[in-house]
Amino acid sequence: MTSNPVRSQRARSLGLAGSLVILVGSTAACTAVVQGGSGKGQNSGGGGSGSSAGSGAGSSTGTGATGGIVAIQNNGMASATTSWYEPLKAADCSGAPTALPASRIWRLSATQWSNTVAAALGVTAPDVSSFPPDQLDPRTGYNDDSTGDKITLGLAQSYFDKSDAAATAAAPTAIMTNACLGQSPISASCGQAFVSSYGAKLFRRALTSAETTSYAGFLASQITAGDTAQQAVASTLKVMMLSPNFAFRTELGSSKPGPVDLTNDEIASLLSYSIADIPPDMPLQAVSAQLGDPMVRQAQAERLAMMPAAKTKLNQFWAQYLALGDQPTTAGIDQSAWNEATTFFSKVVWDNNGTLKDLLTAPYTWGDANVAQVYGGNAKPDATGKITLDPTQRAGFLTSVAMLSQTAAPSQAATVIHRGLLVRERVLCQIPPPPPASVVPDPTQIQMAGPNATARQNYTQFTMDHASCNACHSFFQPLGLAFEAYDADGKFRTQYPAPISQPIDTSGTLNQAGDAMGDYKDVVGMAGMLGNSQMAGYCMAQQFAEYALGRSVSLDQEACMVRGMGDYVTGKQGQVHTLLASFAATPTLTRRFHQ
Amino acid sequence: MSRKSPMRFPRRTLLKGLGAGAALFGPFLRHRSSMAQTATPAGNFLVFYTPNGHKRALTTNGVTTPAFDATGSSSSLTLGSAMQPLVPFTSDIAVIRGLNSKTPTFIASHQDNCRILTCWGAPKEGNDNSQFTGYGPSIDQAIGMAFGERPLVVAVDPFRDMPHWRNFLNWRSSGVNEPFTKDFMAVYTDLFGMLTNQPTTADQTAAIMRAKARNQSILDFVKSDIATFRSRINSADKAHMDAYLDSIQSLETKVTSMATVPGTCSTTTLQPAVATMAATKAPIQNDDKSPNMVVGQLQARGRLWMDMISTAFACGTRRVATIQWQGASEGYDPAGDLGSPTHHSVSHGSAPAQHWADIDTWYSTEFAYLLNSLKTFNVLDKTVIAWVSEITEGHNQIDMVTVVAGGQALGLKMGQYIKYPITGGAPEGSGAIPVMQNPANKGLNDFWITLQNAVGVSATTFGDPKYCTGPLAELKA
Repeated sequence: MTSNPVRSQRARSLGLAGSLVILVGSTAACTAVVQGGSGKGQNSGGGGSGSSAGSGAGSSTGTGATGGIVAIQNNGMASATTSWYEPLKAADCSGAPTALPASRIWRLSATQWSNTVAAALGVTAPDVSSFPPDQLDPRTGYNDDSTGDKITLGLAQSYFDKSDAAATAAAPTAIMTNACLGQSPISASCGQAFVSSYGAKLFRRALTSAETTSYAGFLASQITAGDTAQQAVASTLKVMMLSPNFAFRTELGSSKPGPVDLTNDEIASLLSYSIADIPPDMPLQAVSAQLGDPMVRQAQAERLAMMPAAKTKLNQFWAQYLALGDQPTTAGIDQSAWNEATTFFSKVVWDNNGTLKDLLTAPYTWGDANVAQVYGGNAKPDATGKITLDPTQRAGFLTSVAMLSQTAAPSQAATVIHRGLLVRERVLCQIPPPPPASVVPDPTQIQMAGPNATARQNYTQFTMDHASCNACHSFFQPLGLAFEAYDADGKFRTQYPAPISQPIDTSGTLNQAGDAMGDYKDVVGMAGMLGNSQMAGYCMAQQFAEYALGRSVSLDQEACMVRGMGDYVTGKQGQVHTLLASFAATPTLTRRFHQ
Repeated sequence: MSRKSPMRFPRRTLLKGLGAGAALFGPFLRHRSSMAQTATPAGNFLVFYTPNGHKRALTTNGVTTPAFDATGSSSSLTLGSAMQPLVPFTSDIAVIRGLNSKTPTFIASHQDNCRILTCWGAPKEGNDNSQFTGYGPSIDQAIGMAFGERPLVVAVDPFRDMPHWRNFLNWRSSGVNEPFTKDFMAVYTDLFGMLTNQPTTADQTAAIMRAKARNQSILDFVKSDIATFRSRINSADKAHMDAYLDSIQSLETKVTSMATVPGTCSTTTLQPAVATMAATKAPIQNDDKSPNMVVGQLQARGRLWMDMISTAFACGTRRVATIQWQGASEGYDPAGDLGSPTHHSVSHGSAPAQHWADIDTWYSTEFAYLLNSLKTFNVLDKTVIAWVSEITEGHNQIDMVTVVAGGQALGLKMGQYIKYPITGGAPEGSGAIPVMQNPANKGLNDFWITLQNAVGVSATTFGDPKYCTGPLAELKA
């Protein structure tokens, strides 16, 4: 996958020269132990109910005036804990949450901005393709980012221009709807009625009286300055669209220090935007006053999750989960592989109500002749584009052309590491510690058995030459060896080509992996273990939580929420699309800690 | 399938690279305390950068004559052979001989590209990345921050894109490089997107004035909204409002600088030229090699950038800019129409000395083009232009030849030759450090102090204060 501006930009912006090619240059390298500690009873809100409270984990805001409730301390770094699964299962989620996410504001994504303008003003959804792209959060890999993505000059300029066009288009209707706006002079009550009506739709909440007076005053000032009613109305709508009250979602509640309850409007926005990228619709607004009830939230979330916009949103999650970047614009194998990866998800998850196990183990896919050629053998798309794969060679997305080619690197060692990390980090949410700062990337150090040696021979030599490094590498690198059955393009092989010319041993053991642990003889076997794993299911729930909630979600501190989401999906026969509504009943969804 | 960009899963990658990447591609964020405009712009400021230093003199038949240098006095200026294209502008320029880059440089070489505009050394000296790091802000960014605007930084080279120490000229702050842009259309839109057609009637003028006032009132209201909103939010999120306010203020600059007087700020000819250039893309090579026979492209791009900068100065849509012709230690050879890094090779003697001077002559022609463009827009006297390079003949940072132009309406004295004495020799390598740091030798710091004062920034030091002795009195009228 070469023509991928998003991924390319990420690689540039993060300065990744060697962050995955971890190798050695220092005797002090890699001494960290791939273990983590996570105690029980770390209750930060989950899907369960009960009365006993756990102790807040990782929090340090003080509890004197907050009834023992603290803020989840999220320093933006991914959890370094790799043994999170057992503590998560054991977490006491029976009581009210004792640790809450921080209050926040959250900038509308370009899609959300456009959808909100269209819904509020009754105009065609503005084309936002010229907006600066919403940046991927480097901590999560997802672009619906509540913390980092700020309004740059380029975005402010886009807001300025696009709001002008939308406001100008909406003004005539606004005047027709509020006939008093056509009278001269416009009365104060008329102006206030207009700004109250449109303001509520644009801000997703009722305006305060001070805001009503202020915006109506602005309208009047434009008339006084000589503008026509139509121009003045357009300028007033534009002011509202440029307001942070429009551009940002809020999770502030009363904005008083300490624990706060979100307002009903804030809960409604959280559900509608996080599930379908739209502002609260009429049915949601109709039950706004009841959104403190998890059952009502759940019902609304399940309704929203059935919308086409929700399908689009979940599909985007998958593309970002796989770090696919934008669809390549040039026809060729990169584009074909991108299409295959996204179509596979859509077909499995939406058309067939598929599960994570299906995504991990399916011996079939949907693609064109380009990818079929890579799969080889008898692989050929049928009339629907479905390709039946050799079940002894292929299993779900881990053996897809997109994943295998995307994780391939110029060096044998880097490819093995990438693919091992794919399993650990993305499928099992286990993030090994970073390489020591003194480590200089040097792939040759991991190929000391020689250029004609197999990856396994090189790794064996590495474990002897660099035992301290292997304390970390042993966690992920052996898993990558199983993927040696696939070349850089993703073609299956049983033997290395010349000059190595040796058979490939793909067997191994998946250890420190909760209920996914066990021996495997190849990637197909490994994928089967992962597919049957509850740990992988919880990991997928955590991944989706980060996407839907637009922030890092700690498996340690928010174990109850993640477990609740995972259990919700399990209760829905494991259907992946039910992830969309899985977070709605979470107790911490409606409360924040304001600082 | 080729794999230029192997998969990078984000959480792991964060662990090593977030800081630098976020800074490089982030918005022009400033702390609130430094965000407000602190100086009233008196004029415009432009850095004209060319690489590899200059050939100061040529010796023929035992006779040495100035090449990229001059002779003269405080009231006269006779330009050397490599500066002949500037003769029509003799009264608009001053040539300064004898300034020194006083940073505690490690290798006294092209890497000091990183510090030529900052006048700060590394916190520690060593053979590590500190030699590629500027400790800023650089002079353009310092002036830009004082003016409350983001300086324009453009690169001319059609064949290079990748940020590299060779191009690390401008620094927002220590360790935070301000990357150059090469996107003509984006810059054009940024600079002139808010401009309207020139009014020809009183009604048109009134309509434009009203549009300007309307936009101003909208943005004023939004700023008020931001302040109210900011008071409600989590302390950690206030940076979002700071960034938005920063952007709104930059928008405001555009809105309030909309031209309303015919003739002073026309983009009529610029627009089609930008559109044509924007449609032309050279294949990018991100090493330091570039093909032969492309000097025509270099010149066309450079001249369009200079026209855009002149127009921006005339329109008041930007007051601070840098034009970076090439990266340090690389560069085309315009005299031979050869690709990069021939200029660097020539500076090390790969061709007769006259050839190096011929390269300087080519750049003098381009500098003359710039001065003519500024003069055409009637902004030359309100603009200070500094032509600098990262190095001098001798492969050190001693006894530089620096050209300054314009600024006569800002209190600068042109049409003169200033020569500061040099105490000590001009050795290459680390031996050059004590010579350039000798208090008897004049620092580049004082040059930048003089220029920032001229454009309205009243600071009395620039860069490392220990190398500052005050403005160059000789350069002031």
